[in-house]
Amino acid sequence: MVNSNDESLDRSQLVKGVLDLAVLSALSQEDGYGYDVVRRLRSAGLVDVAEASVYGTLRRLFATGMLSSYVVASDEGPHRKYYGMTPVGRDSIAAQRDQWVAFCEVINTIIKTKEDN
Amino acid sequence: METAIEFANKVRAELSHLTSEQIADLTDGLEADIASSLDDGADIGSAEKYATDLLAAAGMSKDVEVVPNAVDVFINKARRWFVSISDLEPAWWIFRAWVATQLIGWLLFRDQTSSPGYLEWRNMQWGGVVVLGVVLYVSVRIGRAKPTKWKTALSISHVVLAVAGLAFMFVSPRGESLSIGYLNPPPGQSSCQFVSVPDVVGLPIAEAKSILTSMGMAGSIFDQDAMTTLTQVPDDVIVLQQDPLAGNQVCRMSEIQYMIDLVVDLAAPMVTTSLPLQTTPTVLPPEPGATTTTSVKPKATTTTSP
Repeated sequence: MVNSNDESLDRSQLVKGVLDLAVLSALSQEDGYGYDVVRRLRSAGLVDVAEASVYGTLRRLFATGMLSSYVVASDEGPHRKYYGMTPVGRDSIAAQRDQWVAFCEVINTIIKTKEDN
Repeated sequence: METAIEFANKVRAELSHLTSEQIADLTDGLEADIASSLDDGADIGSAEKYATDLLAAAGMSKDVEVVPNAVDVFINKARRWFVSISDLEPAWWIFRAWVATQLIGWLLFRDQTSSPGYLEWRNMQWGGVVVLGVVLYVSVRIGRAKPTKWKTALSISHVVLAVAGLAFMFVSPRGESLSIGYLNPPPGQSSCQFVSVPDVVGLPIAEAKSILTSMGMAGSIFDQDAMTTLTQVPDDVIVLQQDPLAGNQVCRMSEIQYMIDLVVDLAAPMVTTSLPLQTTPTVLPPEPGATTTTSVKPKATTTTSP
C-alpha cells in the first residue's frame, strides 16, 4: 500500500479528488446506504477510504441534487438512510468520467515522456 | 465497548457549532452505518476525527462560521450536557402521544367543560385509552422512521405539542370533585327501589344538585384535604366527570338516602364551615367502591378558606 509520506503519493489526497466520481459510480447500479457504499468502494480496491468522508460526500451529493435519499425503518435497530441516483447524477458521472480519463491520459503522457528521457 | 449510538452522539457533540438542522442532515442514519462498521470490526477512530472528515467531505469546514438561532444554541448546549440525549427520544414519543390525546379530548369536548388538562371523554372512559393507544403507535412509528419529508411540519407540530403539554401540566385546573355516595339497603331491609343515575356532567353545580335532590339525593360540599365541609360554592361551577356513570342503577330508599359530597381541592379557595349544606339522615358506610368521584371546576370563588 502506498503511504502518505514525503516520498510517495498522498493517496488520501488522490482519493479526495475522485471521491465524488467513485461514490456516484458505486451507486450507479443499485441504491445503497452509507456503509453499503463504503463496502463497495473497499471491495473495489479503495481499502483506506474513510467512512466519514464517504458519508459526508453522500450528504453533499444529495444536497446538490445528484442523489436522492430515503429512509428505511428497521425493526432490529436504527433506521437506514439509502441513496439512489438522480438523472442529474447520471449526467454528472458521464462528465466526470470523461474528465478523469482525459486527466489520466495527460498524466500518463507526462510520466511516459519523463521515462523516455 | 462503545455502542454505535454513543459514538454517533459524540460525533453530534463535535458538530455542536452547527445548527440542529445541519447536524441532523449530516448525521441522519449514522447509527446504522456505524453499527455495520463495528459489526465488521472496523476501526472508526475518534469521534473528533470522524466529525472532521464528515464536515470536510460534506464541503463544510470545521471553522465554518455559522450563527445558530437561540433554539439551536439551547439544543446544542443540551446536547453537550447530555451527549446521550437522543436516548430520551422514546420518552418524548410517549409524552407527545399523551399531549396529543389530551388535545383531541379537549377539542372534542371543550364545549362541555371549562377546563383543559383532564382526559375529557365524558362517559367514554375507554375512549381516551383507545385513542392514546392509537396515537402512541403512530408517534412511535414516526419517531423510529424519522421521515425526511414533512420535516418542517413535524418541527412545528413538536412546538405546538410542547406548548400544549406545558399548558396541560401547569395551567391544568385546580380540581374539585363531586363524589356520589350511595347506600345499600339498611339492615333488615332487603329490597329497595332502583333508580337510574342521572347525567349531570357538563351542568352547573346548582342544576346538578337540583336534579340529584329531586331524585332523593342530598349534598354537602367537602374539602377532602382540609377535611372540612364547605357551605358556599359558586352556582356556575361545572361538573366535569361523574361516577357512577349515568344509567347505573342505585338503590333508592323511602327517605333521602343518597349522600353527595362535593369534594373541593385546597387549591380552590372557598368559604368553609363545619356544618353540612343539608342535613342528611344517619348514613351507613357505603360499600367498598361505592363512593366515587366527579370533577368540577369553579368559575369563580368568594372567600379564601383559612
